[in-house]
Amino acid sequence: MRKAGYAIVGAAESTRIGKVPELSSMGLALDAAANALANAGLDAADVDGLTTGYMPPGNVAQLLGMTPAWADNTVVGGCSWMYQLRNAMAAIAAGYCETVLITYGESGRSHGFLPNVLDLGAPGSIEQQFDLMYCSGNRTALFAMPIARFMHETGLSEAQLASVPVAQRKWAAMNSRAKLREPTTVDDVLASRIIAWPIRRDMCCLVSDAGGAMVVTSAERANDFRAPPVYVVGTGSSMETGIMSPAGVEDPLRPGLIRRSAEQAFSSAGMTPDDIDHLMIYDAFAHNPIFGLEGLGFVGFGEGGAFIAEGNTEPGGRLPMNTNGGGLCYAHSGSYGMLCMQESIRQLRGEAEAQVDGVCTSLAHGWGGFWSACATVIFSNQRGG
Amino acid sequence: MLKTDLDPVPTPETLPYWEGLEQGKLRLCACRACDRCFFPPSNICPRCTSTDIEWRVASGQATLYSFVINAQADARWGIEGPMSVAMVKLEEGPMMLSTVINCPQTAEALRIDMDLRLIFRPYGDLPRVACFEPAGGRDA
Repeated sequence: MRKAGYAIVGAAESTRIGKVPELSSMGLALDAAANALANAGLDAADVDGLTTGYMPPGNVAQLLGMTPAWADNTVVGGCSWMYQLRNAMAAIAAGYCETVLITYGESGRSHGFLPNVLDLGAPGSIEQQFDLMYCSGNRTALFAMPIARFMHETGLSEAQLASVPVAQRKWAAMNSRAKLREPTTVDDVLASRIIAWPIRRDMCCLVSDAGGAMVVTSAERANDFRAPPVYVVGTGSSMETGIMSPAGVEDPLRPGLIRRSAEQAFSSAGMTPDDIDHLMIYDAFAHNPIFGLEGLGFVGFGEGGAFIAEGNTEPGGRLPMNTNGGGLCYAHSGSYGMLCMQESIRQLRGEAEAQVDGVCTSLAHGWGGFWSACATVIFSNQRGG
Repeated sequence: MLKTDLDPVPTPETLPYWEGLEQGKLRLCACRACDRCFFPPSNICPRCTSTDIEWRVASGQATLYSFVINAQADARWGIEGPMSVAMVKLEEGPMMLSTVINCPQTAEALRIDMDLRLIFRPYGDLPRVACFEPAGGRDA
């Protein structure tokens, strides 16, 4: 493992998640920011960099009472906060700022998703002219497009697909903040109604209210804060196609954007998949972790479904994955990338509710749009080098 | 979820595609520099960035790359019940999103790599949009 240059020195979710009607998206972001700053032992005025997604940074800065020297609101979909973490590291390296607060809040359930700043489906866009008509506006259908062929080529079964939420429900059972904590079975999942075959309701993420925030600074300053540091040891990102256009991916079964993002993250960390103790793969739908396991190099092509169905990612399995219960069972407020990273950080600090023993490294992988963007972040509780 | 107006709005670059459909033709952009068709239509070749682009009429022959079966179709289709959404690989090379109709909308009837042929059907106010059916005909 290479020596890490950056560390997360404060991290927290909003005080409440799930159904939080008393707060707007902004309110959730501010609540999470206050919690993350308190976690770091910082005042907002101590922070000189700010990132937001979908929200004007100026508004967030005003309401937090800060005057950042540097700000960013890169939006590429649900993994935007992973992109922003990379941007924050670059800004720190460039000397634009020293300490960056990354904020996210989304009242997906109570007051609606964040504003459509990407103008998804705008009149005249690729999606609007050539995709959305055919899927009757059902975007789940677009994300699920490659699955039938994947099943045909690899033998992935509907039961294996259904085993993804079954495995994650076992983790959710140990998380008091998770929405779906009751055990479920493959038969139960396959009995839920079809949204866009082969995707059924129980294979789709939740719709929640949630926020999350983190404070990042240079690794040299990592021990100056209240919270135990979690180092960022490797990152990667890649884009491939329009935000919703499955036909734009060169090989939809082996999406190159995952491999490119993973290669950057592993090579910058000086690590391989064998070095990862704990894994978070953004699960908007049940097939995402299967494609992620394969693209990131944890299993071979066509092996992801059986790997999950055989229990390898469950409690007690050799590669604990989505240990908060994931977007399928914990919470999904619209853009889950921040919550993915929060669980990686909790595991590395040893403070997760479903704590895995001996976690020294955690990889968080997020998507933006449907095979449009992705980002990979490798964290460790050791600086390495 | 995000609300989107589903009636397609052409841009200057895509207008010949939509005008072609009105005339019963599926037009594809082709790059003269690399002599290959691409989709969606654009003024730039996504393979070589050439601006030397022409329109060609697709043969209508295609195969089924992958699909999902939507539980319900938008009213503009005039189709009751489930409706397939298909990634269709055109004979000319590009992939486009479409639907495979005139066969049962089931995972059994829709077979990966099956031969398809272009058909046109109305969608809302549009008289013809590009759809596909099994090349063997109805209920093939």
